[in-house]
Amino acid sequence: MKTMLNIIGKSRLWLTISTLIVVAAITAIAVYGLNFGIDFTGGSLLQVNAAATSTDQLRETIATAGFESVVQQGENESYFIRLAPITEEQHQTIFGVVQSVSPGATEIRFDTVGPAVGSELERASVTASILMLVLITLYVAWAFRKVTKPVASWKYGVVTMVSAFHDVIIPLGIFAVLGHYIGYQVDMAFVAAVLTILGYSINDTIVVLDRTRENLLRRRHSDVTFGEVVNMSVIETLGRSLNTTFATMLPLIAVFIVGGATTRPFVLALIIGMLAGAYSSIFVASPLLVEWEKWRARRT
Amino acid sequence: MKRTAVGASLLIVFGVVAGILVYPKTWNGAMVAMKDTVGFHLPYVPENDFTLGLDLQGGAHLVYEADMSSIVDAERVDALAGVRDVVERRVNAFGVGEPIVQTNIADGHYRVFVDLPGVTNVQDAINQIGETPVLTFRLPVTDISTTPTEEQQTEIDTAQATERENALSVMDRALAGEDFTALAKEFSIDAQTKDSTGYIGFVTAEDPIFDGLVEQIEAKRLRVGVIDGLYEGTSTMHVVKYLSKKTESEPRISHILICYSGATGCSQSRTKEEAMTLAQSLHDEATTKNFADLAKENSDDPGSAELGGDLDYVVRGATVKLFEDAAYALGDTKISEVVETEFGYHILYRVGSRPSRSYEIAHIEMPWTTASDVLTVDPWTNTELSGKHVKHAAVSFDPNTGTPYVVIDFNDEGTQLFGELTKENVGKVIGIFLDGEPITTPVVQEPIYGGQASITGNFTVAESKMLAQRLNAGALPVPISVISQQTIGPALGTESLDLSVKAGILGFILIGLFMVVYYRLPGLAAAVSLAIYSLLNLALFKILGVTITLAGIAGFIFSLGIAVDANVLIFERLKEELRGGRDLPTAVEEAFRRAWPSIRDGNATTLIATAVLYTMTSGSVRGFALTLALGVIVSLFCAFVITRFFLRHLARVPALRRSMFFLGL
Repeated sequence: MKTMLNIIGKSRLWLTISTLIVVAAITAIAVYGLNFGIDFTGGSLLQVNAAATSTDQLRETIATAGFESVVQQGENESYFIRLAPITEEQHQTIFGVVQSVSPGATEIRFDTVGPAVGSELERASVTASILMLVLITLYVAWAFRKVTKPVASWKYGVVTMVSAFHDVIIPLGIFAVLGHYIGYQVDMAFVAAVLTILGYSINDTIVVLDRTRENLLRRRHSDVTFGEVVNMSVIETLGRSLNTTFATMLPLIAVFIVGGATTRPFVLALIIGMLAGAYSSIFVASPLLVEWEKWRARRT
Repeated sequence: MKRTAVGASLLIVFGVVAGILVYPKTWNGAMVAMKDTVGFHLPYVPENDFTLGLDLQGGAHLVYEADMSSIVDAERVDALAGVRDVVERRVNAFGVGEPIVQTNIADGHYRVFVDLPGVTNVQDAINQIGETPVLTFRLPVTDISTTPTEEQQTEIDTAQATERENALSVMDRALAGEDFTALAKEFSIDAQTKDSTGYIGFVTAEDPIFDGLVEQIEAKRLRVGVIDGLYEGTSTMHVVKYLSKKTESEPRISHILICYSGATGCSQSRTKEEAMTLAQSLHDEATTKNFADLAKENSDDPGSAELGGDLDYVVRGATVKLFEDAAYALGDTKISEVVETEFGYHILYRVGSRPSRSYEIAHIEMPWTTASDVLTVDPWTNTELSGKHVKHAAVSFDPNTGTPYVVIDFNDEGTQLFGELTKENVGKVIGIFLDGEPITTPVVQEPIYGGQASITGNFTVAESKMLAQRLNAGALPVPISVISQQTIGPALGTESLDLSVKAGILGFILIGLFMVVYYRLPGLAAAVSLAIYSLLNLALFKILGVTITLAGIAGFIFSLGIAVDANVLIFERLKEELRGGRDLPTAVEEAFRRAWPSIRDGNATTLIATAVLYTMTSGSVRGFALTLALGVIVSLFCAFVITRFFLRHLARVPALRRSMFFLGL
């Protein structure tokens, strides 16, 4: 057998790197908090194209009309004005105020979400995430039901969940930072991205574990160690993992660059999640499985 | 080779049909040209455009919540459907592209989603929808419950316990010698007395408010000071301070009233001077003996005249001050001078007197919850008949008085309902409510089967015309309000569409290039398969009427990556099998067979994710889930049917078996 890359041999290094990144992500979330969009908090978002004005001027003028607002500048002369939930009349008043400082201003979009709707969405997102995790764990346990030696099939499920957590917490951490500095928000689209990452990264992890399953069945009478079998499986699927990730990244990067500002945060979340997913399927799931098995072997 | 030919032609037909569906104009153009040149043509296809979401074409999305509090549970779904129909009628009147009006019931919220593509003046739209009147027909509730439910009783008990405790603590502070004036100022809810030491004045046993207080004071022989015990009124609780006691003779009075035109409550036409003269002459004539007769003949006080002028004992505070003063100042069995009050001229005769004790008190009034605070009684109950049953409304005029009123024609269901309603309620009242206010509450004379009702309020001609117009445009069964809205300017929509299409094309080219460069010939097969995949997917969007949104396009582009994944998995397997020494045709079969479990498991998790997203969300996220799920399913088909077809047949070409270069090895 020709010499192979030994990924599993450095299991602890990979797991340490991942732990550090996850801790950093959790810290970022704890420090900056998540910048929730109006989908969840309830509120209004008015996007306008207005020449010859500034964020401060807009905010102050809107304040004199009696509305508290947060104004951010987008691309070129577009501004995002965030307000409490407002009625259509108030919306017209505010837009009138904007036109008074910048004649010829045009409205690009206006969203308003009642607070009740916001909390409903929040509940729905949480329910959706939990439901999905439960369904996928069940599916993984089912798919691996024939593999019981040396590692029980439910452990594949647990390892898959751990890497899924890894893949979701990283985009969340990065969005906490981005939310603080450039105003990227955690909205319904972000939740969709996260849930998709969950599905996709689990897909990725399963492909690798699947190969382990196959190799274990094929080599159950030879004297190679569990670690060696896992390493072989990771190497064998490495080309596929990298190529698939690269191929899927191509259209995402295309959308990120030319797809316009509206979908950019959404696509960015997908890109980050996919990268984390590719990393975790190689460097988290399999090493974790091996370390777990070693730990169990030492104890018995 | 026969099978190859059949398979290839099937694939070509498949791709062409998908292509035709995606680009119907090109096909139809070609067919027109064909007809011109050869005289016949293949069937045209309908030129459906893709259904674009609001975020791609601009427009407004409104969410209305219907207030179902007055509708019983079983009828809410119907009522919501009624709201939808009426809103739809209203919205169609705008003449915008293709409005979509949908209902949504979640968590006990009844909502109507309104999509108005191309509408940017949302104010107008909201106003027009909002002006829709809410018309309901209601019946009076006959069995109004006056006993609180168990729940309400608990509520009362809890409230009273707290209130009693509060009142007792104030009383204890007053008893302990704290300044009563200050306590009144702080705690009393009696606006009239709280700032003036809580002073009420003298109350007697007949006092209408402090009924029973005097009895208590007398029964317990209380001394002057704060009373140790709360006085419970009908709806308030009182801490009482007893200031002094006064005993006086309470006079029993008979009187003769001579009023004049202009005096309060007078129906006489005599002038003030005439009244004055008459009163004076009666006074001169009156004696204790003839007073009752004179009163009967002359008094303008209708209540007492028949009783010979007798008013019984005059309690302090019960009559006007001038009268009271005169009555108390008079000696027993004496007749007064002429007394002038706002009612006219009086001659008083003090028949006798009785001793009366009155008590001077101050109080601190505090809240006290009773059943009447808790029982909310709506005297009207909704019937099934409502604004959604109105077919037509018109202004008509009462032939006698000329006052305008509005005539409603019901639709068939409404006619039937109204017939039943009037039949069951002959002699009873039916309330016609507009926007929650009773407009008219006619008594049903006889059953009305003609399907017509009239609304006779106090309308001006203009008001009735307006009402008829509003009713004609549709009347709602329940009130609705906007709870969220979304407006996307047309510029943003067009821009987003352009950018997404560009991104999609760019993504497709990049993937194709990558596949060809890395996997060579199989990669080319995958690229062709991917092109067919795209066409198929787009054709499906049209066939299934999928609304394409920005998120939907993102889902589609993302699914390109997933479609490639299946190919990559297979090709990697293929390489392994070839390295393992298998010959090309066997390796191809093995690669597909052994890649299948991974592809199945991986796609299953993505499908689970999309299923959850689709069922749990609405709007754009849902669109994303739908296009992604469609993409996953179509990609499986493409990889296992199309790519496999290409590879199987390429593997049979002898030249390729040796040219591993073409296989990327």
